Amino acid sequence: MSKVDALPARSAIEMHPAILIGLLFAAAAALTFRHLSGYLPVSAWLPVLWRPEINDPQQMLVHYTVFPRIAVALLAGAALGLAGAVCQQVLRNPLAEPTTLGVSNGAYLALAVTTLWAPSLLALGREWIALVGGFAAFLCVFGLTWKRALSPVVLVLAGLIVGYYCAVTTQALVLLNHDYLIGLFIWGAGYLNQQDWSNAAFLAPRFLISFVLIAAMVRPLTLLGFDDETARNLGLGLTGARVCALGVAIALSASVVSVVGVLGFVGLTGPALAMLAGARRFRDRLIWAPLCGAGLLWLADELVLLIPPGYREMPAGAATALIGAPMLLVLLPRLRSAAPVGNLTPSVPPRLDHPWRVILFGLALLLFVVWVALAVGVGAEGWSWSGLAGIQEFLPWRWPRVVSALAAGATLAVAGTLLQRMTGNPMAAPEVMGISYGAAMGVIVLLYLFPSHTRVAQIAGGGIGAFIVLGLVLLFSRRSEFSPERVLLAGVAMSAAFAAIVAMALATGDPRIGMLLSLLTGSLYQISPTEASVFAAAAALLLIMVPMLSRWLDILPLGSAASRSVGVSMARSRIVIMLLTALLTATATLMVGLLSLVGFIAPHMARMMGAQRALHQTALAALIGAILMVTADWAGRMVIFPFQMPAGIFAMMLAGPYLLWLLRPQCG
Amino acid sequence: MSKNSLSDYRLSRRALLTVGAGIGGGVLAGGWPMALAQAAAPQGGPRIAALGWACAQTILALGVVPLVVPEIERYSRLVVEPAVPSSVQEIGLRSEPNLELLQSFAPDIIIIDPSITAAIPRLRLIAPVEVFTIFRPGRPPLETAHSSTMELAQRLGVQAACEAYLARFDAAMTGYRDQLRGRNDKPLYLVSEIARNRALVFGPNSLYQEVLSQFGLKNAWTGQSGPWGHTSVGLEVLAAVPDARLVLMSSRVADIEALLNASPVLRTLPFLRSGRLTVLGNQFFYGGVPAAERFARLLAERLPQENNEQG
Repeated sequence: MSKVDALPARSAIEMHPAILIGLLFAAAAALTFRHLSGYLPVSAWLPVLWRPEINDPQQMLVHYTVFPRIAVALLAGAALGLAGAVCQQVLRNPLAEPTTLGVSNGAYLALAVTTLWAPSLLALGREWIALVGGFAAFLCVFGLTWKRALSPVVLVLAGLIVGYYCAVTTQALVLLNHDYLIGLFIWGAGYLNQQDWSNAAFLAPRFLISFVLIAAMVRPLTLLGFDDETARNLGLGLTGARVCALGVAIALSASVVSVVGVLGFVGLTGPALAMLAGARRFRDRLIWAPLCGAGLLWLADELVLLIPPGYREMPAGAATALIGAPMLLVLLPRLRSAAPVGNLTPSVPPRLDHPWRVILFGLALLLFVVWVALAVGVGAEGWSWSGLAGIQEFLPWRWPRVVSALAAGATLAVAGTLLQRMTGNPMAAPEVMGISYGAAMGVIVLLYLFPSHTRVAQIAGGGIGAFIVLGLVLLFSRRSEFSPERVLLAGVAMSAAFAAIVAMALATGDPRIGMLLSLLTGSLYQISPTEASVFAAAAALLLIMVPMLSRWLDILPLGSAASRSVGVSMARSRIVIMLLTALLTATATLMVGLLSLVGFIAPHMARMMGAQRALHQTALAALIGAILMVTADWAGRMVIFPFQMPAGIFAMMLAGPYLLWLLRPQCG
Repeated sequence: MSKNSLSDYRLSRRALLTVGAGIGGGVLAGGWPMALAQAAAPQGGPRIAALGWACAQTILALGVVPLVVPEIERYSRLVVEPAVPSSVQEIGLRSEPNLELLQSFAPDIIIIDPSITAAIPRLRLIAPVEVFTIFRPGRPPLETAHSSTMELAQRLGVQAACEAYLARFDAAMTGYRDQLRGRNDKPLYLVSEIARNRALVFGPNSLYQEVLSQFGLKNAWTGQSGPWGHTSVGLEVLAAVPDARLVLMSSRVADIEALLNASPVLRTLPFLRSGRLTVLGNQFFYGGVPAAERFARLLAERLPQENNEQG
């Protein structure tokens, strides 16, 4: 990202951000004009905005609901755009946004906990609870990375982990209490309805103050975009600058989240669109990114209002993602950068002396875990340890789960390793490519179109969804020889769009929420013996192909110049790796839902344990993934018996602390 | 609803949630199965496993005690009646009933709600499966519930009890209608949840619409309401029918009232300004005949005389 600043690339048609933003605002204004004329004659608008007739219900309605809604859309959009631009600059990652640092997830968790345990606190205002939650999450991230001078990579990793952790905890609460939390889902979907000016009045000063503060920090922020060495040589106190900039961005986005719910996509897209439309210097983005965010959210919300009343209303969060994702995809070919995002790899841990010994030990551990998962269970009479004879009774229920947990864990871990090695971006994970969301989307569409359907249809729906997304991602990154950052950005655009749709589905309060949740959180409940065998066979076939790619995987992280010089074709190697990753991810998602946390965690764990060669890292990651998933599934069945906790949730609970421990500051 | 019962409710919900919180610690693993050790008292009839709340509610209303019901704690908070007898065992989540445990109870028949039809092939390995349906596209839910209840009774061999139950229901409904006659002809907003700026409101194809029509009452929300009878709308929309009354279908009155009072503008909503607010307590809006009966009874009890109002 920083390199994009330094080396402005010229495209055939010069584009100015004002064109794009002008288009956004023109469209939104036209829709607003149409919408407002439905209420009042044009001549009455200004008087009603300032002083409505108290006895005229129509005027009161426009004054207290229509105008504030527009104001909040503009302010929230601008605020998220600004926060996103700052985060991307400080973290040097085009995929970063305030959500990356755990803010929305922290706010969501705080609200869930309050709704369940202390609902009377809600009367104080959701804003404050969400604000506290968002900040608490971010403080955790800060605390974890403080000793490393808040290095961008570690910040991103810690933010992702804390964010995931909050999300997973929320999911666990939601799964057991979703009947109580419909209100939370409605909030989380990001509706912009207003009933007075208080939210606008809440946001406006915060946005202005943040903007002024950030504007005062333009020079240090521009320097932060270079690598640490350069910045320090130019006389910048890195930690101080980062704390100030991120602190402002986080406070701002936490305020937005607290008022309008989760609109994460704006924070990602606003700055990205501004940059793709030609705002290459940070100084420029500082102006254009907020404008872009504001235009995007305003347009999205006006489009929502176009849907005739009486139909289900769509939350602005989903609408933004639906509009923003295609725009991002269309503009992607304009993204040019000289260096891979991937100079980001955190400090390399000492290399393992005997990787194969560690791998053999992992294999033994996996066998032990599998045996425990098959033999130990809780029944109506308490714990039981089945011998070889007793195991027969439970085997039909247990083996499909164990086998699919094993296959899914290994598959996701390998997919994650491939992606991280190919892209050199530590944020890369199967989920980030959007493929798992594609599969989940397929299933959700099926769920809502055909209330009763078979498992086969469900699997087919998931498969089709996964491949549509894969096709789109490949299509849009084709021109760039499938360059990693473009693939990732395309994938993130997809994921964000789908995440917003899922949030919308949750907000409908449909009774099938339970099923949707178990799908999303990675439950192995639905797997039948036949399915388990088919999936395991497919996973095994795909996994066998990985060692054949190990040369590419060793070379690709060295960068494209190095790769070309030893005769590796970038386009071909990338498309092969990506296809394989997509197939692996689709297989895993169909088995266990959106379980990609393992795909993110396992490769990191393997790398941090010191596996450097591609083959070693892949094998170790696969073992870690499998062990994690089998253990998580088993524990999930035992801990709250007869209830069950999806393996995805449990895997995160098991692995998260270990990953954080690995991130700890190392002495010497 | 008295203050007392409200705080009771809070307390036990907290207890329930502590269970949820135990997940992380895993403290419960040892304790629960012991409590589950006594199997349900066998009855004369078939051993029935009810794996959904809608079917469990109807089965209990027919006077039959199932072996297992999912999420019993939450059932007693949200569905409330008929109460689940203490002999009934917990079977886990509605979306994921515990199959190993179910097998160990050896039921003769399994009744499910349509939300877990995907699990039918595996449930069939344990016992024959029946699906209990209430919401069918294009049919009023109460009508479907009526016929589904009769089919279910036939399958369980309790037709006589079913006929008696449905007759009691019809008689009760006539009674409630007489009770409500001439009492209140203002339209009602049926709302179960108010989030910051939106409310979940019940519409024309909900279970309650039919009850309202039978009583000659009007639903103030006449817009679309999705396949399950409800939809979420912005609170400002609720101002569209100025003389409407707000009927809260939730026990969490304290929070909702506080929430409404927190915002000066919400207080200007017509029904709040004039205090036209009736609280019915938790309702199970995906339920069948028993859910309709509970709603009708509480409405007849709690809907005040219109002339008592300041409105």
